[in-house]
Amino acid sequence: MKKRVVITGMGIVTSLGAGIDITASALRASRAAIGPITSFDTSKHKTNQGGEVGVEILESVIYKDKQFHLDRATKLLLRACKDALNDARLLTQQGEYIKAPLVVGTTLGGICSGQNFHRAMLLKEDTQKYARFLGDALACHQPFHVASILGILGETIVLNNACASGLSAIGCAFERVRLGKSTVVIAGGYDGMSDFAHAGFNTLQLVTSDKCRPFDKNRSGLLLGEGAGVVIVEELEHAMKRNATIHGEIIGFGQSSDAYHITKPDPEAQEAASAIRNAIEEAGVTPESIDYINAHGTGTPSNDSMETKAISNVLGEYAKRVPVSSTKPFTGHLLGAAGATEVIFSIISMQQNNIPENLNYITPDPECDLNLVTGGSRDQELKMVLTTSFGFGGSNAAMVLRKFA
Amino acid sequence: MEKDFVITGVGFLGNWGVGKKDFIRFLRGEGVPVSIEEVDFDAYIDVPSVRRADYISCCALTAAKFALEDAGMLPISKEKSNRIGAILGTVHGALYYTIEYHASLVLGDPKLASPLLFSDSVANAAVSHISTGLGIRGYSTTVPGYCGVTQALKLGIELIQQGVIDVCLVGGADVNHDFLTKAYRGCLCSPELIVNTFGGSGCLVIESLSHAIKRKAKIYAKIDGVSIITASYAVASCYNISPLQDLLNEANIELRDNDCFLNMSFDDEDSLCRRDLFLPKFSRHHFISLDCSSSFGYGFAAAEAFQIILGVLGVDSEEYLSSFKGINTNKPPNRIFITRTTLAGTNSCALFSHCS
Repeated sequence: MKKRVVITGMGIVTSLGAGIDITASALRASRAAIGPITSFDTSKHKTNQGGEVGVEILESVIYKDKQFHLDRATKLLLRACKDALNDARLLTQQGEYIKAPLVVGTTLGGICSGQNFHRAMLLKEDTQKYARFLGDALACHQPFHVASILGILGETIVLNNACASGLSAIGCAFERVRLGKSTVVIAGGYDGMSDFAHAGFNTLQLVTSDKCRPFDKNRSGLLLGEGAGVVIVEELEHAMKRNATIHGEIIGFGQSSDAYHITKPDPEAQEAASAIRNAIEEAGVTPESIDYINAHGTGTPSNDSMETKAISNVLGEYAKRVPVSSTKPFTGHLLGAAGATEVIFSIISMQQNNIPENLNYITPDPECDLNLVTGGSRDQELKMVLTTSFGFGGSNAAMVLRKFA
Repeated sequence: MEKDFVITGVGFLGNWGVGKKDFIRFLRGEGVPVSIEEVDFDAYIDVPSVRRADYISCCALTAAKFALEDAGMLPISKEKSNRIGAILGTVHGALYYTIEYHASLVLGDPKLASPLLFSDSVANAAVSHISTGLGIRGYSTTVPGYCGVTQALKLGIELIQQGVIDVCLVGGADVNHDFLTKAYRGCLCSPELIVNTFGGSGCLVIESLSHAIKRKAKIYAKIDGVSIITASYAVASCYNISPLQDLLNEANIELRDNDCFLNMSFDDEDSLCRRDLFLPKFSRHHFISLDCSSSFGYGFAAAEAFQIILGVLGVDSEEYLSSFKGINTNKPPNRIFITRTTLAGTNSCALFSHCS
């Protein structure tokens, strides 16, 4: 028999700050955290704007007893992971271990560290000096370091589905607990700000020099951010037995591939719709039970029209009534962390009974005829939320979350 | 819930050659490795989008096509496309394009850098080329990691068990590049170590036994169990925790005489250590060491895929293990354990058996 799956811990780090309270108050107050990028030179790019995490937060995770180099992305993941375990009352003391799988999604892993080494090679500097960076360059290294520091003993799995990676990882954890293969899984997504990604999205003409305006007629692209979101996914009975605080329940997950193009989404949105449909079907609920959609909503012309089509395809006429917002204008697009942080935003929305505003929206677009939340956050009783993620290579993922009762 | 899973297709190519005959020659030490850049991919795949892609995508798509052809599953109809998934393990991903793109940022003007280089440098580009090129619309993902292929195998089985898909293409791909040699010389515990990398891709088709029987597929091997442990120890060292015991416990399996162990190791000394780790009573079993530092090279996910394919083919036919000492070549062993102890404390074990 399939198990009920709940979330018993949450940890989040974005440009809004680190922690649930600071994130919740920013979402409620429609307070975005986008500003000039300082960690690398942006002078040759279209914009210098992005959602960078504060130095004080990054420095808060320096472990003095560990001598190895930690990539920026590792620090973000470590902070979110530690906060989530602490929140779930599962954080161990030095020398103790927690036996649980760690499933994380990332798009570029420790790219900053890899870049440092490669730059030294190209500029014929002493590469030995930078060799320590390689210990945290590959995507499988960040969760390893986190597991090592926090005493997590179990299988670590890294998934890369581009911008759907974070949601995929939580989906993988959900299915694993649902099938009874694990009772507790630590799951989430992360990515650090890098000039590699910033330059890449600029090269692809996906970054805007304006504000990020999801679903607006004049939307012209995304802004990048960085962060990490980690949740403790736990089997209900196990959680209740240890009197854990239950933040919300995961009831459905769907995933699909467009098989269309390496970067462009399929404009017909058939497979994106199929991921949403599968999530709702697995949840065993009707589309009309969804109270709010936390959309992927990158602010690029192609994503937002495709996503509208996918939502309309599954929800029919109800797509015009259900409240929708994208939270990317608050933090920037967090790539591998996006799906995971948006799961946390969705849980926060249910806890607060408050829907975050779709920021910077001015001009309606007939191609995006959704019920967008504008003019401030909206108080409304929320029992069920759908969150979506779409990535390069046609990766589609959707998850249905429910208020625990 | 389905319990029995089988392998019904294999496909692989690397800088040792293409297909089963070249693979046997390579195992016997008769093959002459070529650069992956010299492989004529156009001879095997007719997918325009991949012509300009990184070598890892070319290798992975070709191996995937071979495996699905071998399983009798091509072309994939639109109706079935949602029921097939693809999961690819890799350690370094699209290394050629990542390096080329970054070089263009450091040495040139970022505005003039090719967008293709960036989009194809993301680690999931290869599996995206597989799903786009072959029309796979079910779950697809990339698993970066030192045991990424074994993890892909485990995930694929779970997805079929969950009913998300019926068939899963799982595999691994990595390419050799000068950068790797320089980088690993820089960060491994033994800087003097000569790192011999090789590249390529290996893919397998997995499905439930009942599904395979229903469509009358050729069955290479049965998957009896897969286990992975990540020991939080040190990023550049192995750790003595045995996933074998986990697998034996989880799948309720006991070791039998003449079980064969196919182990990937760093060098001879390391191999002995691994043998002791995996097989306290090794005298009763065959133990084959695939030495990374010589014949098999540091192929990362490509080597892992070839190791698994060697195990799968090894229980099906005596040809593949005949070059290894101490193996009774009159008949293939009934069961082969694939064992790996790798960097970042990731250890894995998978068991394949002959399926009559």
